[in-house]
Amino acid sequence: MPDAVRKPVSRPAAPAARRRIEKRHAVYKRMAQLATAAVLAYLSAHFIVMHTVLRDGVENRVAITVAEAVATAALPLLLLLGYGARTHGWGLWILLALCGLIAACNLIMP
Amino acid sequence: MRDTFRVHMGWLHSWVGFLAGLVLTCVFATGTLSVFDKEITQWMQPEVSLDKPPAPTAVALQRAAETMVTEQEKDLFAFITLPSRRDPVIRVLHYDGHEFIGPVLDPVDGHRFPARQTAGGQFFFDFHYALRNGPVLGCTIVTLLGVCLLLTVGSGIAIQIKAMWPDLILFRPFGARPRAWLDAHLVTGVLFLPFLIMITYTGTVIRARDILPPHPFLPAQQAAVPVPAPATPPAKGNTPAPTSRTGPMPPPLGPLISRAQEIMHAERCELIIFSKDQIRIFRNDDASLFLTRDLVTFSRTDGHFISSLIQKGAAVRTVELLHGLHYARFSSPLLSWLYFLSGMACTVLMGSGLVLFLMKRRKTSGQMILFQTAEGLTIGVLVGLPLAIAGLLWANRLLPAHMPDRMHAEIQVFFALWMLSALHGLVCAFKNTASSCWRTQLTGLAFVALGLPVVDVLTHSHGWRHDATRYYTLDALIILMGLVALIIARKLHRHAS
Repeated sequence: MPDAVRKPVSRPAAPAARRRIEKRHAVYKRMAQLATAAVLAYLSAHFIVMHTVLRDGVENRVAITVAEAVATAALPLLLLLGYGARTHGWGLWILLALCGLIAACNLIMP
Repeated sequence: MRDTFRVHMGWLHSWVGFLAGLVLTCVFATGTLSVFDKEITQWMQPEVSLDKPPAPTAVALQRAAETMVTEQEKDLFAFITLPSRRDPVIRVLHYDGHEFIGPVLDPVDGHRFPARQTAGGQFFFDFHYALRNGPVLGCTIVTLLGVCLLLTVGSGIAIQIKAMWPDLILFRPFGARPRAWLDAHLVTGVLFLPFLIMITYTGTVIRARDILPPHPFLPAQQAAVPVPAPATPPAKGNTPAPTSRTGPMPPPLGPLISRAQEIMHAERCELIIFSKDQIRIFRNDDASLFLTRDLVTFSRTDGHFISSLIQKGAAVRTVELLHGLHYARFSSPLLSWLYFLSGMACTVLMGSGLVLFLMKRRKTSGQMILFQTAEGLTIGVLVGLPLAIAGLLWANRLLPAHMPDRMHAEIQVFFALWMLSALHGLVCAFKNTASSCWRTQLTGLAFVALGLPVVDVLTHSHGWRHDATRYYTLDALIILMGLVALIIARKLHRHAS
């Protein structure tokens, strides 16, 4: 369990100003990670739709609408995966690999 | 700083939840009201009599066609909605950029009801799906917020799942204040989680195309769909000839509707759209869970059959199901109430989340401008919105029935009240008197809500025997809202003293 793996470290001796700066940096880091996860999740969702466009053709409106529904469901899940799994250090890597995989699939598709 | 999974998820849940929640609470509240949009419109148009049989006569249909032609001559893209179980009148509507509005006709003799001009329940629907910012900007914002909500729900589940199992639905309303608010947040979150996920996901899917990057399908689609006529009247001096958009007077609609029902194997048809040379009759979409857009096209000149579009297949059914679940047109009155109550519970979930966010940070950040702004805005959302809704209903009864530009006056009352409430909240928050502001505004809300039935009685806008259900129900709900506001205000007052 993540909570058990990383025990909180108490640092009573650290001066308040330093802790404030550390806290601010941690928040910036979180925001950067969330933004990266959002971009990767968004790209993955786009590639899912493009996969259907390439496979079924632009005239297949219904199939593309269904693909958009799938992409919309995947978007928050991928975001949670990318951001949430950062505790273990592999969230963004997984998301990057997934995004690359779908993009590669789209590229090699005849 | 601790760097655990729950801390990460808690941060995401708090911040995305609060920032998106300020708008999403309004979206959910107005969406909940939209479940009964037709009934609210009927409450707001007491001149319309509803004790008619739902089948329109040939005379009434002829009158409706004439009215439609008159509206089209004004360069409006008018269409006809046929009587239904929930709305047993004929309406000749056009889209004004926000709502579908237009004359209301008797389904028996086709006479036009002298109904007051109002946005009705459509106002809440428009706010719900586009925040009154149009179908491009507004819908995109709402859809993005839908994704944010799904994200917040996901992170909420992640942080609470371990703690929730032992006390799945524990509610301690008389516990310590943060405990009671957290219980309310968790109870509504747990009990209505399936509904919350379903309604948010289906709502996001409806306009998913707005938030996904453009792809080659879009130009193909735009080329296939004809662009509808503009809703706004043309500028003076540039008025096109009346016949430019108006086709000939359509043939009798009764036989065409029967023929369309026969072709689509439909019990009823609901919507008739007229182009310059075609009449499109759509199947009713309240017959099943699947929201269909099946239609039959006839010639506008002589009424001969041109084509039909009856969609089948698993993919189509999936899309129809997603739309049907969100719009809930299929629902019986009981199911509509279930949607309403679930929507209310989700609004409470978000409202309690906003309050919790502030309570947790009051001690450490209470003096910061950002916190005070957040508290002022929260007051504007949680008290200001219901106050504005009650104010809109007051305006509906108090403004003269035939006042020019009446609909916009009603809407202005709504936004003026909401703005005043938010401003008052912000000023009080900056002066560190937010708690008295909560009490004042809640007392004001109780007064406005409890006063509405009195205003309704005193204005004599309708009888209380015929079609009474619509008046009693809405008035009772408003009284309930007033009582809840009064109880909370008294509790806050006791706590302060």
